Amino acid sequence: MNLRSLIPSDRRSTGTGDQNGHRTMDTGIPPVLALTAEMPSSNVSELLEARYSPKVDVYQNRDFYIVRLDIAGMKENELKVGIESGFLTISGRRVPADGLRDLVRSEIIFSEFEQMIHLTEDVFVEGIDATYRYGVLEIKIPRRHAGGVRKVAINSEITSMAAGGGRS
Amino acid sequence: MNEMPKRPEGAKVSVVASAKETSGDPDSYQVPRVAISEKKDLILLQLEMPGVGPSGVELSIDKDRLTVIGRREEEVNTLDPVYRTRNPLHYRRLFSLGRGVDVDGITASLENDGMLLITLPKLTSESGKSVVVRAV
Repeated sequence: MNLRSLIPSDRRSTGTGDQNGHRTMDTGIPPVLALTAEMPSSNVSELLEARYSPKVDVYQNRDFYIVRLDIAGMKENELKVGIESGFLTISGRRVPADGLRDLVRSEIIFSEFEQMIHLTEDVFVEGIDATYRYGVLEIKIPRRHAGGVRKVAINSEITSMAAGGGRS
Repeated sequence: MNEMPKRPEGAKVSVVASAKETSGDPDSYQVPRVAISEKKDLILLQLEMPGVGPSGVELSIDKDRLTVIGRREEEVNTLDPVYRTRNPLHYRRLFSLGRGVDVDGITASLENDGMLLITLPKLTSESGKSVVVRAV
């Protein structure tokens, strides 16, 4: 039984000319799995896009920026977060998990990605804090004119030195 | 400057096999993207559901229909929004299962990465013969 042949033909990566898609039962083979009519709200060109572009929310107040990105399917050490001249950059490469490489269908885009967000120049780079939880990367960035005691990320300094990576 | 974000622990998701009709307004859900891979004896579904933890996942099986719901964790937003492109809705997607799927053997797991993994074991040809009778 081969699932590839059972996926509605309009969902295959290359056009077969059969635009009306869904197979009828007269193939004689009951489908192992069929997708219902519900599809992601993305349009076709978005599904075919070659490069992944994570969705992002940016919040701010006088003291902080909070940036959240939906980036499912990553390990936290595969995510790179950098900030320079007021530009926050999040980058990485999303690949299918081990044992899940032989995809017969994928709406999920596995590729490198880079998301750049322009913040104001007053961000306090050393105070940046990033957390990856259930596929959401949340980055909190203090702003310089915030009063009071600043948090200094000593742990990340040690981590990057141990990894041999220089700080930009 | 690179930082290594912190992470919580992942967990197994329990599969509830029930005919319970899933509640809620369909408009209050988004359809998660799926990637499907197939092995000799099973089919694997990955559903992209960022923001969903193990406790937010609900799988229900009603006859040949598998319904997957993922509820996003609540996010506290006390700051002013500047720019938003994320879809805040919960996730729901339906799948039709053929008789070749061992419905009782369906399992699901969700780690910290927001990618729900559902395993659909195929019935072997031997058990398949007996299951044809059992078909719902």
